[in-house]
Amino acid sequence: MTGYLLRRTGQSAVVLAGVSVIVFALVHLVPGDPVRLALGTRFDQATYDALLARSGLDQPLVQQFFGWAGRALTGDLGVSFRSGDPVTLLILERLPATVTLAFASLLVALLIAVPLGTVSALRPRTVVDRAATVFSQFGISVPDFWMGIVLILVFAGTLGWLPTGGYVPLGEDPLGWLQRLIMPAVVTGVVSGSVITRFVRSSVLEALGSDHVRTAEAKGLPRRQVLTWHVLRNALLPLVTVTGVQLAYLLSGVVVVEIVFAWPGLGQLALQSVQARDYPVLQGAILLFALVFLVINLLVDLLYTAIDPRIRR
Amino acid sequence: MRSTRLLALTAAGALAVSACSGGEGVDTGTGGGGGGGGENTLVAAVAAQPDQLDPHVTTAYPSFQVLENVYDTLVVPNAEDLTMEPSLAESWETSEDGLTWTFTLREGVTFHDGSEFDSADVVYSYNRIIDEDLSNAYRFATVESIEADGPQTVVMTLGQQTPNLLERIGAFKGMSIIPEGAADELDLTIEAVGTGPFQLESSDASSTVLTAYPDYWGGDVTVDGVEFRYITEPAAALTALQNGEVQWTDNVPPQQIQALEGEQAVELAATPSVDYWYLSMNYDREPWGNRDVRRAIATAIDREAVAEAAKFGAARANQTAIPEDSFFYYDYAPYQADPEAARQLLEGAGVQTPLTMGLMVTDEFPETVTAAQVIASQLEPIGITVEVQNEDFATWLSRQGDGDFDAFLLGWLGNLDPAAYYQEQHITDGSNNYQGYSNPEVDRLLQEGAAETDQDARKQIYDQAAQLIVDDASYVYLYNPDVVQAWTPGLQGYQIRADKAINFESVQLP
Repeated sequence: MTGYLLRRTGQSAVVLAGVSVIVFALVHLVPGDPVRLALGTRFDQATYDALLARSGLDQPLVQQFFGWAGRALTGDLGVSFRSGDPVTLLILERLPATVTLAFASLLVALLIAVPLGTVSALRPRTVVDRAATVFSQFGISVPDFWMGIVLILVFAGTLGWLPTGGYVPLGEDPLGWLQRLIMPAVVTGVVSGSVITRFVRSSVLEALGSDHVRTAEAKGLPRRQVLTWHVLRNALLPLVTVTGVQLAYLLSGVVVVEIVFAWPGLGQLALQSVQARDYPVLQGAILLFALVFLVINLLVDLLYTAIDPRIRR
Repeated sequence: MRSTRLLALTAAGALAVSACSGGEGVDTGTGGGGGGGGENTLVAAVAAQPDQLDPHVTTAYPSFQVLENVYDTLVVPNAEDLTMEPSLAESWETSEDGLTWTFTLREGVTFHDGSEFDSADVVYSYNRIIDEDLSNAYRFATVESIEADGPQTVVMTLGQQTPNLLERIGAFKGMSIIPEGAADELDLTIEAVGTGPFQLESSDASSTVLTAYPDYWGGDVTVDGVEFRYITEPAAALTALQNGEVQWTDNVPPQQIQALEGEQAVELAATPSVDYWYLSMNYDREPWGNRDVRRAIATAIDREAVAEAAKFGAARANQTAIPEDSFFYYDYAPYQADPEAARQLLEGAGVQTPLTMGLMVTDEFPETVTAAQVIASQLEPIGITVEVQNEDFATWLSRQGDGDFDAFLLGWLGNLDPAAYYQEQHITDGSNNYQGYSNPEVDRLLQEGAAETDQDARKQIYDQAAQLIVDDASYVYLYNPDVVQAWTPGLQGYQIRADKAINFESVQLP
């Protein structure tokens, strides 16, 4: 078990190193000059040269990379071109909002997906199943910005029950926190939930059709016991995988939903830094996203071994 | 968005203090709508977060929306006609030869940290911009020295006559006065010490909060504070205004402007801005270097239709750059939207149709995308197929700088002086002359205009230059958009301005 853990961690570290090279190269290869962007359109050449030197962009790319990578190892991700703030600070400032929304959305998604997927698998081709299919089709195909605006117009506009958006920390104003969290969590939760519902349905169906379930039924085990012990437990494996992927995706920031609901998360930060070609922030954010994916995948793999002892070696 | 990010198209997101009108207001103390920061705090919904708060470094409009209320300049544009009037400088004199300007500073002004404002702060602020080559260093191009002559006097010596010096140092808060040594003692990207009506309380990823400065030189500020809340999505900003979460916004969905005019819950205001939007063609790429081809395009375009589509009517079609309300407006409109005449011009130019034109636009300014689609449909009948190329702004700017375009659409924002409208865009090898226009007569006029001190003579010179520029179609001018803002009914003491400066010093909540 320890060997497995060490091996997986080592692999993750190698992947992360590779990602950092690719990220750095990609970010710098994208057309667009951050200095020009920062200066707007009216400036003179001396101003341009001065800013170029201050931001270190006049140095050779290889030198820039090793400088950045070296500092990143010590936890220093550099300073934003745009704001002059340390990148770690900018990311930390937005992390609580992103984590809050990610877990709330996942909760909504699972609350929708697990019952709906299971029920529709147990009653295939019934009204419930059709309804579940329609729902997941709806969630996948309806653009999230549209759903967001409709919710705002109805619940903040017409009904006036909820604020239009924004974020307050839980510690400052718990009720305000919850009120502002509901709409964005529902929108991302419905989208994620639609994806997960399909997985739950198909994996429950698959487990239902497997040999050991037939055997269990043949042994005369009560249906409830067959379902909880033999069907759901086996169906859990794909669910954990897809939930992990969804969580990683949500933790990388949900750009559109964050913008519609003025939610100050990492997605907004990443978008702003792409638009401003703010290389240090962009690199820091992508590196963090890569790290999140790796860690979650690692956790998912470890969870596998807990759920399915056959994987443990 | 970008809105969001309406991020800095130009440095001149020109903002200004509405002249010392503070002090007369009555504090009603009744507080605003629900959801506001405090009892008597105005909550304003703006489209984006300031990128940073150093007035000498930032070029982003969202930053200047905040900084307008925190810092002051020596002179400011007047709210009515944008002529320059006293602010931190009480008066000024120009020497006989126009090369020495002497500013007398206001007494009894203090910074938010309590320190006295004097001439050393002015000298320090301006020299910081010059010595560190900051964004607005170009504004001091003709300045040779800036010196203090006693605590209340600043003398600026120029290398050549600069009739628009006041505009250069006062057009917007990029030319703010900061306390001597502030750049070393403070982190100006997140801290602010100005002389303006509000002081910075906090700024994070959700909002920037200002509180009234009790010792403001302009008199009592009527609200306790202002919270700038970032709401990028216009529909959400408008809903927040309608349900009382915010009391003011400039993030109004353009397509809703007409519907809002009869609305009770929202007061809508619009005024023509000093911005202009235009189409520019690359002289180095045939056939766009051909004057007749450019004139054919200028003739084929129906500017009214473009303005209607791009701004849902909140814009005025114009064939020159300077808007109607300006002293420097020149009523010159030689082109009639006429496809037949345009076709004849193309035939006369001897070019083979159909032609294909790549027209570069950017999502950063969605109106360019809409305008391009309309222009494409207007050029199709005369045999020009427009291929609309939508780029993100960073790529767009690079392609513009590299001359990698047939044509593009963009605007110039926050212009006050005619030199800002015409000079660098049309003078041979001008820093913004990306199209490659060169006309010796225009060069002569623009140089003359930049140094002429008599206003009427100056206007005549720019009229002549504008006429040549329009005739040559160096730019095909399209329209001047309106500034559109909305607030809660009963809000008083706020004035919408053509330069989009947003000043809340004398605002009163209902």
